[in-house]
Amino acid sequence: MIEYVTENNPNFAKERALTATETIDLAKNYGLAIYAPHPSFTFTGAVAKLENAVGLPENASNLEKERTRIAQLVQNRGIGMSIHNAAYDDVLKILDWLEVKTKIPISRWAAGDDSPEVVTKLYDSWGKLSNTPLDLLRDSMPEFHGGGNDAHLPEAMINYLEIPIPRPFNELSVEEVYEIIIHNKDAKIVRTNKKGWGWNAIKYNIKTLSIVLKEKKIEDNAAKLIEEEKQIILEAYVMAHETGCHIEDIMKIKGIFPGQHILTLLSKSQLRRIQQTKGIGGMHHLKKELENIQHTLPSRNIKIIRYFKRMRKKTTGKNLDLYLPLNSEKVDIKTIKTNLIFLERNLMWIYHAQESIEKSISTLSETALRFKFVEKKDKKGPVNPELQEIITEILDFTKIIKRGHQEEGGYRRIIENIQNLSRILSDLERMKSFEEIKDVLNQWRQFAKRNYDEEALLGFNRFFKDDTDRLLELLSQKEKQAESEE
Amino acid sequence: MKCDLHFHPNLMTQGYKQKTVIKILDKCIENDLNVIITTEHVFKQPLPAFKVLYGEQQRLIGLSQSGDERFAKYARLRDLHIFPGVEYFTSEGAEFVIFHWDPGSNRKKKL
Repeated sequence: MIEYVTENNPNFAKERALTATETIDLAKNYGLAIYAPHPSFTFTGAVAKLENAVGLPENASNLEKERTRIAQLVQNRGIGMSIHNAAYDDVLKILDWLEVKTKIPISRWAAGDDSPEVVTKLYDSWGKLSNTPLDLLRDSMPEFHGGGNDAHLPEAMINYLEIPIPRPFNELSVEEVYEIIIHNKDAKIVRTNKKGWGWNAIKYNIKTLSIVLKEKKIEDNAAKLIEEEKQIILEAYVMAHETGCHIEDIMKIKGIFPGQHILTLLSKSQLRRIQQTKGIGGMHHLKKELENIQHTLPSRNIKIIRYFKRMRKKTTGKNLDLYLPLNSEKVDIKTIKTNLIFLERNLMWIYHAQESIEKSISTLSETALRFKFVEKKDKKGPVNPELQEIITEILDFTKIIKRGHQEEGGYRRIIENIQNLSRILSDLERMKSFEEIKDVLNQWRQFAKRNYDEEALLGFNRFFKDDTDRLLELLSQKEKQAESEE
Repeated sequence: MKCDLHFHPNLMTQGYKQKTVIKILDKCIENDLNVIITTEHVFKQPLPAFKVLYGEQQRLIGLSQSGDERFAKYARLRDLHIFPGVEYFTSEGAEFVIFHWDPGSNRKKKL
């Protein structure tokens, strides 16, 4: 199951996130135990995410239906919940609204990302609670009691569950232990350190903040990384000039080259001098100029850099949502999104120009996937089905490229196709009508004719032309269909 | 029976140090734990994380039987079960921990 979840099934981790119901059913079908731990509050807007999960009371149109559905799901499946201090009250409100507050196990843990102030403050109020976590556990009727520290560091392992067993532990087999855990209803929360109720508790809780401090260090590394990326982007810019493209031609192919972005950052004199480098010559001069404008390249906002770092390291279609929370108040999502697309485009160019073909393909596929989800998140209301269909076509087309890679002489063709595909992605971003798409498709062909030799073009056409034709045909069919409906 | 059903080894994101693994196991001994479930996030290589922790546990148990006094305390690890698990975010934002005692459980079972 674990292999299935993490490696073998893209649906689970990469393509799309499963719903709660699907996840529970999947786990049950595999005969696995499942429980709901506390909601994670590592990410800003996590409370809002939980609200989204149950439907916002003021916005949900089918409020009562949704409430009943979630409440039944939580209650019938025996889902327990432990809650971080920082969001305890907010989550309780939601559970109250669901009318399951007193029907499920709720425990309260001070761990994870609570700030020192919050930990200290809540620690003081902790003792004043009328319902202790133990009371709630005792009164609840779940399938079993689960919970834990959510510790990311050994030092943070300060609580545990005490589960009664029928005979000495060393006489129990692994299977029996597992059975006891998943059927237990008498778990008690115990702290490992008796002194932990005093300053030590606060100290331990604050110690878990080393996670946050660690991330701070990553931020510094990310800043360096971004600087390196900028350098590579500049190199890519120079390389584009080396092909002898006219500066205006370069600006047209934004999909593979961020000409417009860089040029908008140039001063008038810098722009004039770069324009003088068109055609042959002037490369050394240009390179120097580009180095001079390095400091004006994308945002130095440390938060954005951190998000970049995270997204580049571990973002998939699924967890992109976590890193691009729509309800976040502090983060400028629009900037992040723009910068993400901008960065990824550059990466595409860099990889297909300098790195291995496998890396190019994987980057492109990942980018297409990310774009798909960014697009999804960006839409208010239902996603445009035609647009989705075309994006799916593009994703399928990456598979064709992979096949082409295994054939003789496939490398150059693949490079060209990747260039064109990256432009598809770019143009889709701005696309509004089918006419525009057609125009874009035609531009691709013209571009290929202008810039590549005949042999390459033949290879290019063999794999790409058929698909562009197919896309065009699809679009015309859609158009006709739309006309006939009108 | 003392259990921690939600624990992140945090081993595989930037490579791992054997020292960290031993520290986790030391903490389990110190807290007298009987069961821990490695519930790493889906995108943080939960299975390798489990395997590393489990492998180290078996190694230390082996050493404890060698007669070397330095490793005598690790005999306690025979009373510690480590179960593989994952932490998963659903599309609705709800979070789940899924686990089993056997990493290869029902692998062939169709949905």
